Amino acid sequence: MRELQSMINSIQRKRVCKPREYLGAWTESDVLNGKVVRALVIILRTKGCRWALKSGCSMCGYINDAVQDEVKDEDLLYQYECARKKLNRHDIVKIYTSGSFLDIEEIPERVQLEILKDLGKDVQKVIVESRPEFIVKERVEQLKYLVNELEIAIGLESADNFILRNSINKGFTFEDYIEKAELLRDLGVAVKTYILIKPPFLTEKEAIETAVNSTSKISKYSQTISFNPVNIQSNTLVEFLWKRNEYATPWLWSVVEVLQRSKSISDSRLISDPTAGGGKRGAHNCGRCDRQVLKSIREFSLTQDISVFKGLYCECKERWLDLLDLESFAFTQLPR
Amino acid sequence: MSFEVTDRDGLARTGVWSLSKSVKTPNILFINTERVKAFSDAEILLVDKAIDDDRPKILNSGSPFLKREILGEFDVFFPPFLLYPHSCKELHKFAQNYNREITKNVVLVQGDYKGFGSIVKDSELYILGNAYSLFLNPREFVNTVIALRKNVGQGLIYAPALGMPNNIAILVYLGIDLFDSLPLIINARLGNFLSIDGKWSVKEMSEIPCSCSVCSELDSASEFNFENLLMHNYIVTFNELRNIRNAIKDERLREIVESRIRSEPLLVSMLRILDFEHYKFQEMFAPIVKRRLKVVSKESLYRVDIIRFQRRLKERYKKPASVRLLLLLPCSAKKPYSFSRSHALFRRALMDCENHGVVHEVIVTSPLGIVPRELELFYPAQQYDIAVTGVWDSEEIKMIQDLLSWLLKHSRYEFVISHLSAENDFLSELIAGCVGEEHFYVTCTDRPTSGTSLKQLAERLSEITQCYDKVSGSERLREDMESLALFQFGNPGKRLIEGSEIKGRYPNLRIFRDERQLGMLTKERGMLSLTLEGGKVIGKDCYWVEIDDFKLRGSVFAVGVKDAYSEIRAGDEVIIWQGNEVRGVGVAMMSAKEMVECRRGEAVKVRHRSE
Repeated sequence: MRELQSMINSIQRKRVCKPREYLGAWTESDVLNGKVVRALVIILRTKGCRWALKSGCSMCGYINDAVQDEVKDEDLLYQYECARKKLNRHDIVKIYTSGSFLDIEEIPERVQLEILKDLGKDVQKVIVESRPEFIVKERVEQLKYLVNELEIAIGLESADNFILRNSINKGFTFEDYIEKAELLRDLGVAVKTYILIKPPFLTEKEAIETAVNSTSKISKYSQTISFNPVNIQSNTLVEFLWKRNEYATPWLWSVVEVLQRSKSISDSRLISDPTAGGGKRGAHNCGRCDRQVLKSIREFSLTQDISVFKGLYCECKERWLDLLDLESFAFTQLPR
Repeated sequence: MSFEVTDRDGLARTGVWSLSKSVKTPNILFINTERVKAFSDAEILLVDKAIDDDRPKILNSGSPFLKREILGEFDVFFPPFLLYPHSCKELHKFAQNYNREITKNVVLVQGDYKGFGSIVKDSELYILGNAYSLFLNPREFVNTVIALRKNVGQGLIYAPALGMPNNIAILVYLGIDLFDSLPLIINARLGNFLSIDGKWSVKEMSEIPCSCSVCSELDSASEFNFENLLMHNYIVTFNELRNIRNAIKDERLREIVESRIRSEPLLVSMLRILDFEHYKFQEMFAPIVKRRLKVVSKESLYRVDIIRFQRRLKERYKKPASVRLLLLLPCSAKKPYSFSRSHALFRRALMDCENHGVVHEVIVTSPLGIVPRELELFYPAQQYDIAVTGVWDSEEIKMIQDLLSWLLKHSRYEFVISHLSAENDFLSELIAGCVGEEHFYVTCTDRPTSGTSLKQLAERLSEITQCYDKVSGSERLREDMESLALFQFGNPGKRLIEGSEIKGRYPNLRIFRDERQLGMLTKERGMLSLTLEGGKVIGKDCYWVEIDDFKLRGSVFAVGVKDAYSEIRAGDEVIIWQGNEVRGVGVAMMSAKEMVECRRGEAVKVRHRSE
């Protein structure tokens, strides 16, 4: 929707200029062939997601960290080399750019090839992210043969076109996603899909239901589904709303609910690592039970065993249940 | 569904909403879900799916972000409305267009009043989306509700997530018809005990200040749980709702509002903003006469009916032609002033002088400022009650100074006698400035009713009035009636008195011309009532109601009204016309705007019909 696009644009802000500094590099746990392994996450600083430069998703503030001016190939490779120093018995490497790795305007072809060639057969699996429009047969095939296993993650956020258009402003449709997911399947490349929990303008209950609906629609295309509860990033539409008490981050109970119900209808691997979980800008509960619930969510992500959620309870769950029951009647956001 | 207004009190109204059963408005939509049960006495239910219940049901079907299948029968159906938050002004138009496509019967208003011009008119029900966020800014809230009411005529207005015992009164006073039980539920969940004074945390309550059916079963506040607290909240809110409906029927909602707003400064702001910034719109619906007006707060001073009296003085009032001397008198607790002991004493002093016809008695008072004797019966001059402590506050002083100086500037008095006491402190300078020190006398030394003061008054009156040609009592009576007729009807009122004779004894006076009665004044109404003859004399320049082509049998109903003189208010004396023929005279039961807009209800109670 045009008006939504311009609202998002007007909230974006000018960006930092550090073309030779990578954004982040850290180790996390992940699962490979049923075993828990170490994964290295590298986030490269690029000129930014092409969609964000043009318009932008309503919850994404990654454009804040992009580079204002030119980023040369050398700068990108330099960033990679610095981050790569942390590689140490990692089985998985995830290269993120806060945009699309496969976008040659963001990561030139030469850089894409060099990075993957370098990782080559040293690691078991490489994961990169991309919007559907940059997933192109020739590109993927080239990269696929450079590594042992390639996985491409797509930020679909929701399988409902109305939400994509009028809430998230994603800039592509569910059908675009399906087309590329099927392509990747035919190429033998694994697919991971990000589902957003609680896009703006939805009630908590709608957030849960639509996330579960999305799961049922994408399970056949996506081996892994990663559930991302909204966290409030700077200069985003959700921050604008959040500051005015017109948006509330989801409850951790909602994340648990989505995971439980999705597991019962999907064979895909379901994971979630709530950014800023327990904090006021992330998904949270009452403050007292957050740590415990986050721990269960992490465990579930690794084990896929829903029994970790059994017995989880806190008084605040009643308030959450009230919210699910009553929020639609209010025609507006009610403060927590 | 259809809706008809039954009673009015300013912008507030009671009505009948015909659903599967008829329900009264204003009303509360009680939410009923798996987790929360509606009040047992609820008259309308608000649900999110079909349930088994005889009472009228309204379905809220969520938003278009989650597609749902709807099964079941409902009296009112809220389709999946698209609503963007209040701050997303750029997105409201998109949502409004989207919603317009899915239904026209129920309209979701985005709460941005600049867009109301293009709203669907004539819909049955308007939902003020974002009411809850708007409420936090009193000015925006009041402006939005008033703008909405201006654009939607008689339709029902529903403000979701608002409506607690302490604020329902002012919300209804603003013109809102429907609320829901959401705040009652949320507060019960938070452990808040609601009352007309606001809310109490049950943890902080030493005793339970309620003996409703739920509270009387409890020994202490620690026994409150969600269920029984919710039940108490339901009971106390519904009681207040009934109280408000009663008040509307009795035209005393304003006093209740002034009382309830004390619970929150926010509410006081709202009333002040309504009075100061929306006088004109409120006045369009304010009846011309009520039984009583209690001045109990600063806010009372700015009531529409009080401001209107003051403005009408400036717009229509002309002093009796023969008077030469202005006599300022204090007001009295007993009304009409003439019937009080103090004024009887003043009267005697006045009658003692030969030429009392040249004396113009004007009472100085709060809240009205000045009341010329001949208008002392006109609402609210004989109906108001005010706290008197002998101390005037600065706003009252300013108001009285303003009106008195207007009177002095627009009327030629050669002398002014002030029989006031404390008021002289703030009026002397003004009066002396207008007529000159040498033409201004103060006759009250200690109290206005003391022997000394009365003697001084009588002496001074005699001294001054004997200089003038005699004005007869009957001539003066005619002039007084002319003054009243002008005040009530505007310029055409003069025609009633030209060449007429006034018979009877004040306050029960009758106007005759050539042996035919044109009208009369009665104490209770305080206004002139007309005969058919009187109606013809007034003519078609004012207070006319034009009706359709039908034979007038009983009352005139709104549906039969073609057009009406815009100044007509409920309680006004009106003349019924068909073309150039007078068909009847009577009392308006609603304002001109309502007569023209409504399709139902009694517009004029006819007193005399032509054959």
